[in-house]
Amino acid sequence: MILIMFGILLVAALLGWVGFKKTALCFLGATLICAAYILWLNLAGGHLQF
Amino acid sequence: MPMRVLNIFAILLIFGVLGSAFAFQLQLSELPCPLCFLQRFGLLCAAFGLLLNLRFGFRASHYAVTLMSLVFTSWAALNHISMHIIPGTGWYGYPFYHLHLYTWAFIISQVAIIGTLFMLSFKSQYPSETNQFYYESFISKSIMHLLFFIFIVLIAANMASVLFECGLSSCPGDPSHYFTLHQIFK
Repeated sequence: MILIMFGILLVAALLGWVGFKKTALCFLGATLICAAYILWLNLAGGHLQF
Repeated sequence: MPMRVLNIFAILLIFGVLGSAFAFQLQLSELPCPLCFLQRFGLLCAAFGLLLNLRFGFRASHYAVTLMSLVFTSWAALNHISMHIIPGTGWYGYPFYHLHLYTWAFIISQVAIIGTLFMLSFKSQYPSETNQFYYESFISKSIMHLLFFIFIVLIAANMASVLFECGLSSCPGDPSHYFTLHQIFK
């Protein structure tokens, strides 16, 4: 899941670099939500494996 | 111009923090745990907000991206601190100037939040309704592209780190070796 998160961030960075700002922000939002969910899982159940 | 320099300086600081985390990982063989990856991820997202300022001009929304990411980083770091705060629960990794890296991550993200709030408060950096023109010199464009390149290299390095440590499965809570490398070279 962390690999996917970094992957989406990489896509967002590349999109931002070439000039697609809104699409990059959408990708960034998606990956931040994903990261927040992982953190929530960790807080809620102490699941360290994600 | 001063705001551009301030943004570049802030981005370089974040890159420095992430670079030192990699130096710790490679020099001291200190494998990052899943929460450490989350903190690195938050710092990378914070740098992305500032990079958007350099790429598309200064906007409050770009600073908002940085602030959200820094708040996320501090939550992840606080979660990590709280796991080891009770005496007898141990710690993770080597200390640096008497504090562990997750404590540093919390302090750095808090200081960076204050710094970002300071930066976004200058009204003159935002385009006015009458003047929407955004000028960039050749040097500042080159610096922006260079910073984007370093940013992408850092993300790719983190991805490689996750891949080597966890493979395609979930990351172990307390990693002791590079799982994928161990599988290949065993």
